[in-house]
Order: sequence, then C-alpha cells, then structure tokens
Amino acid sequence: MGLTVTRSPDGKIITLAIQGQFQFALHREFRDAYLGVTQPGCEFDVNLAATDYMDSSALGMLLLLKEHANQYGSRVVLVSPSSAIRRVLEIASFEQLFAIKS
Amino acid sequence: MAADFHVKNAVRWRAGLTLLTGASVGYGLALLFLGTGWLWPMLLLLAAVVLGWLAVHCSARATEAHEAHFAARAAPGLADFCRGLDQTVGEELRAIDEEIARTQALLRDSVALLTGGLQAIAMQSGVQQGIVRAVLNRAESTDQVKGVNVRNFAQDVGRMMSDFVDLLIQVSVQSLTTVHNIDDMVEQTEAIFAAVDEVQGLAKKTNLLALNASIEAARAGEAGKGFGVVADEVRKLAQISETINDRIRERMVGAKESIDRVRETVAGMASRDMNECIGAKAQVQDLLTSVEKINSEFTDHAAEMGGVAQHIEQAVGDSIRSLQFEDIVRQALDDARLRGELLRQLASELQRAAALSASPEELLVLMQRFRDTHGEKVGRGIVSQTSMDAGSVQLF
Repeated sequence: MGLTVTRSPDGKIITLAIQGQFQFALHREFRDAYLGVTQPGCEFDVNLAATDYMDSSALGMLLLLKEHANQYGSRVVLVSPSSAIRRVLEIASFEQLFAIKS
Repeated sequence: MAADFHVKNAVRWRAGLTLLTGASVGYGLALLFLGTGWLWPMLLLLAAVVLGWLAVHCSARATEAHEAHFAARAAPGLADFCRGLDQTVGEELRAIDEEIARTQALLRDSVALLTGGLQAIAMQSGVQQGIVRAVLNRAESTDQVKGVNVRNFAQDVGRMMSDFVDLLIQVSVQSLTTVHNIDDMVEQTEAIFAAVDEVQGLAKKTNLLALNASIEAARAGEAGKGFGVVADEVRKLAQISETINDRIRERMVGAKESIDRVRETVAGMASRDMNECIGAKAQVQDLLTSVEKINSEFTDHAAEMGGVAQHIEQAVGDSIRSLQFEDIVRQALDDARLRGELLRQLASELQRAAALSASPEELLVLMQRFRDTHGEKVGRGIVSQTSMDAGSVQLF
C-alpha cells in the first residue's frame, strides 16, 4: 500500500502509482508529489492498475491535482482502473472530467 | 282375403271331420269288445265311414282352395300393385316430409342462436378494444402530465443521487484543502515552538548571568550593593519571562491539540465510502430499467390486444357469412320435398290409371310423359352451391 512517484527523463511525465487503498492517509504524500511541479505542459499519469479501493477523499485528491495541473497548463490521465475503481469513477462522472486510459 | 278365408275354413273342417271319424271308430271298436251287441258298433262304424269320406272330400277342397289362393297371390292385378305403390309411397313420403320439417326447424333455431352468439362476441370484442384504447390513452396522458409517475420518480431519484455524489466530492475537496491549510498552519506552530524554546534558553541564560552578577556584587561588598539590587531585578525579570514563556508554550500546546482535533474532524468529512452510493445508484438504475421494461411490455401487450380484437372481428364476420349455409340447406331440403311431392303425384296418377284398367304399356307412356313434364323443372330447382368459400356465396 502506498504511492510511488516516478518521472520521465525529460521530467514531463510524472507517474503516480497507487498500490492498495487510495484514501485519506495518502493525501499529504500525494499533494507533495505534484505541488512542486510548476513546469507547464506536463502530464500526470495516475496509475490505478494496482488500486483496489477508493473513497471520496481520493476523488477529492484527483480534483485538486486537476486544479493544480490546469493552473500550469498540464493534464491528468487516469491509467488502467479496475472495474470496481471504474464504477467509482463513473458514479462521480469523472469520465467527463478526466482522460481515462485502459 | 276371401280366398284366404275359404282355405282356412276348409282346413278347419278337415281337421274336425278327421277327429270325429277317429272318435267314431274308437267308440265302435270299444263297444264291440265290451259285447254290448252288434247294432251300435255297426252304426258307429258306418258313421265313421261317412265322416272319413267327408274328411277326404274336404281335404281335396282345401287343397284346391289353397292352390287357387297361391295362384291368385303369384299374379296380382296391376291395379292392386299400383294401389300398394301409392299407399307405400304416401306413407314413406309423409315420414320424409316430417323429417325434413324437423331438420329445417332445428337448423333455423341453431343458426339463429349461433348468429346471436357471434354478434354478441363481436360486440363484446368491440367493448374490450375500447377499454384497451382508454387505458392506453390514460397511460400516455399520465406520462405527459408531470405528476406522480414511477418513471419520473425514478429519474428524480437518479438526479438526486448524482447531486448527492457531487456534493460529497465537493465536501471532500474542501475538506482536503482545509486539511492542507491546517497542515501548513501546524508547520507555522512548529516554528513558534522553536522560537519559544529560544526565548526560554535566553531567559535561562539571563537568569544565570543575573545570578553570577549578584555573586560578584556580594563579593564587592558595600560598593557593589547597588549593582546587586539591579542583578536581583534582572534575575526576577528572567524568571518572570520564563514563566510567561511556559504559559505561551502551554497555550500553544492546547492550540495544537485543538488544531489536531479539527484536522481529524475535517479529515473524517473528506473520507466517505463510495460503495453505498454505488449500490444506491445501481438500485435506482435497476428501478428505471424495470419501469421502462414494464412500460414497453404494457404498450406491446396493448397493441397485441388491439390486433386480437381485429382478428376476432374478422373471424366473427367470416363465421356469420358462413352461416348462409342455412339458406343453401333449406333450399336443398325444399327441393327434396318437391321431388317427393312429384313422386306422390306420379304414384296416385298411376293408381288412378290402373284402376281404370290401363295396360302396362299405357302406364309406361304415362310415366314417360310425367318425367318429360316435371324432370326439368325439378332439376332447375336444385341449388348448385356446394362450397362455403367467402365470395362465392349465392344470396337468395
């Protein structure tokens, strides 16, 4: 369980991979992962392949990430959500707000 | 009949006479054996002889009469034959007429009943179709009117669910922002704690310095007396400042505890399980789906019922048209009766002619003329209709 942050060599793609439960406990780590990225035209890939649970604070964190990305002309992509995670995203109508890559 | 009577009479006579002959012989022989004299037995035997002759005579007559009777039977008169024919034909035709009349009455009643029943079915089917149409119209108008309607209700609930989820996420975002701000603030309080610690270190050092100054003042004696007073004041001030510092730290610790509690509460607001919402939304979706299904099934069934009513109407129409067979059958029966009547006429004409001692040849001529006159008429009366197919029904 936890968050792993990796950056592409050019620093344009920041991957945030969440293992296990994506919930409030991760908020500080998650925020710290993007707060310093103020370079324009970046892509934040939130990898949800290994995520098995998501609560409303996770949705809130994603929205705050999006807000930050918008502020600096970057974008957010949700990558490989499982069917259970996809249901949570659907009920929040996130497919209209985020690009989702299977 | 008269010949028959004579034959029976002759046979009766012969039997009686034979019996008397036998009795006379028997009685005479009995008297002879009993020895009552010769006269009576002889008389009785004589009588037996006479009776025997009479019996033989009667037998001959009976045979003659019998033969004559059979001869008469073998060759009856043409008139008798025609009379018998007329009689038999009359009786049979009366029976046939009765049967035809009975069949026609039965047919009339049954067809009337059937027609009435079919018309009632057609009427009821029309009423049923009207009811279905009314129900359909009502369902459609309730759909249009914004009122208590399951579909609207389900859609409203779905909308409310979405709003609720949006609100939940919004609360999470705000709570997270608040928590982030609190965290930033906690970082600031950590700096305050550090500053307080520095102040405390300064107070302690001041206190120590003041203590040293007091000691040096005491060693200087009278000359250092004034300096000693100042050093004591400084020391007191250092102690007071340490006390104040402790109070600040105490308050700060209290404030930090409060902040932690607020953080905890706000964090609780940020974290909500989404599974309940997902379950509720799925239920609403199921409800909507089943309402749609019921609705479309209802519409389909109503349309089917309309189709069924049309089929019933058509089938009833066909059936009523088919009932025209009554007319065909009645006509055929009338025709049969007419033919019977002609047969009766022919029989009575033959009988009349034979009674006037017409020869067989004359009777044949009579029959031929009759056939020439009426044969065609009868043939034309027969209804050629044999099929009940729609469109080929003859109307009479």
